[in-house]
This record gives sequence, C-alpha cells and structure tokens, in this order.
Amino acid sequence: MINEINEKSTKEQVLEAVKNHGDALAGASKELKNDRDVVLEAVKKNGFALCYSSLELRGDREVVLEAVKQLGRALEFASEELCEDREVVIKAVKNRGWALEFASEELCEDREVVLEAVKQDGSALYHASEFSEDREVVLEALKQNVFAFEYISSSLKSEIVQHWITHMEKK
Amino acid sequence: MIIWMNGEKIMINENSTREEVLEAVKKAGWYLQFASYELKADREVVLEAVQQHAYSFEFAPLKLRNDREFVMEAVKKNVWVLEFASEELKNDRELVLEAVKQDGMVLKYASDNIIADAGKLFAQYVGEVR
Repeated sequence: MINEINEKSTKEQVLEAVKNHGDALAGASKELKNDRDVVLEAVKKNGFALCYSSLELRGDREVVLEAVKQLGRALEFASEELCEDREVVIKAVKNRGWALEFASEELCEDREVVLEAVKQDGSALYHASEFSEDREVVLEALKQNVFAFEYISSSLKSEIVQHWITHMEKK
Repeated sequence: MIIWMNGEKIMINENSTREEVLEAVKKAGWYLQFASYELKADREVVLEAVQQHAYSFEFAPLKLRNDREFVMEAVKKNVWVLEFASEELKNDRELVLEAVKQDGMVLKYASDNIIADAGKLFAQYVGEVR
C-alpha cells in the first residue's frame, strides 16, 4: 500500500493508505502533505508521519497534539512555537518522557512538565538538570528507572548512599 | 605489542613471563590485555593491574570477576573495579557496601536492584521526615 502512493495519487487514495500506515504520507504530493485532513489521519496512525507533513502543518496545534499523543517523540518535528506550548509538551512527555529533549528550555525548567516526564521515563531527568537536586522529582525518576541515578546531583546522591549505608549497617 | 612509555620500551605479549607482565602492569594496568590467559587469571598480577587502572579488570576472566573473595580484595585496592565485577557480585549487598563506604559515587555500578532499594529507602525516609 505504501509503495502504491506517489505524487500522482489522489486525496482519496492517500487518505485510505495513511489510515493503514501513517508512513504512506512520505510518498504523497506536496499539496497532500499540506492537506490537513490527510495529515491528521496520518499522524493519528503514526505520530512520526509529522516529519513528512508541510512546515505549515507542523505548526498546527491540533495536528501536533494528535501526533504527540500517538508518539511523544514526534515533538521533534513540531514548530518551535509548539515546543514552547505547555499543553503540547505535557501530552508528548506523558507518552514518551524522553521527548523532553525537544521541549523549550523554559519548559524543561517547569516542575510539572518535568514530573510528568520522569514519571513516564526516569532517565528524562537528563534533560532537566535544574531538578537534579529536587527530592520529589529525583525520587519519582529513580522509582521509574534506576538509570536516573546517573543524573542526580552529587550532594543528593551522597545523601541517598549514606542513608543506604546506615540502613545496611543496622542489620 | 610494543609501547613506548616515558622513553622506555615495554613489550608484552602472550609469551611474556610473569615477571615482565608484573613489571608492566605496575606501570600501567592495561598491559594486562596483552598477557597470556594464565597471567590474566593470576590474582597477584590482576591486583597490581587494577590498582593502576580499574578498567584493566575487564581483561581478567569472568571466573575471577565472579570470585567474591578476590573482588572484595580488589575493591579495597580500587573501588571502581565494581564496574567490571560479575552481574552476580554487583548484586552482592555486602560487597557493594564495602565499596560505597569508600566512595559513595560507585553505587552507580551496583545492580539495578540495589540502586532501586537505595532509592526506595530514601523515599520512605523523606516521607517520614516530611
């Protein structure tokens, strides 16, 4: 089906194809890559298809919201403006915490956004160094993925280790 | 393998004698990788090597990296060898305790289990003090 789509395919053909494989958008004509109905259907099926859509639609809030809901890391292909949009970013990191990588600097310093990200993927703490000493954020991250230990501030790491040592020695 | 170090030529290969290898690893632990299998498994040679460079422990056979008594001794010489200990020993609480008492940062090389436990304990504690 994907292979059948080319620049000459009609809107109906492309719509049918992207409902099965969002990737089919890759072969469609420039006009259809800028067609809201087509792109919406494609990103609903596969958020990654956002990378084939027109620049204009990558800045369309509804299209991007659908894309990041399906695949958080599609935030990579959203317009700069939407990477500064709190609701869009929260939706993305709830799906893939690591998508925090593509959020604006300001949102990487937003506690609620970061908490959602580390709850989904503890290692997202990597993109939120501002919170490497925030106990609640760090412990949420660690609970989700021990890999986050790497990104905790050294003073908080020492506290955690000291506490473990004391506990072990009591035994 | 011939390496020049501070103007001195050092050559270690599978035919090098124990004395040659010992002398080399005292200068730089990673010479261990060029030694014969027997010498890579030689406790004294490996201890000398890891004292210089923790990562030379990687070149020792798994049998030695899974030897609790040996790793305990090695950790006392160089705490960072924990990274190259067997997965089983990285999950050995007593051994990890010995290591983190020397340098807490080495906890990152403990098993996922132990790191998760430390996190949970601390979370409980933080909950209590709140």
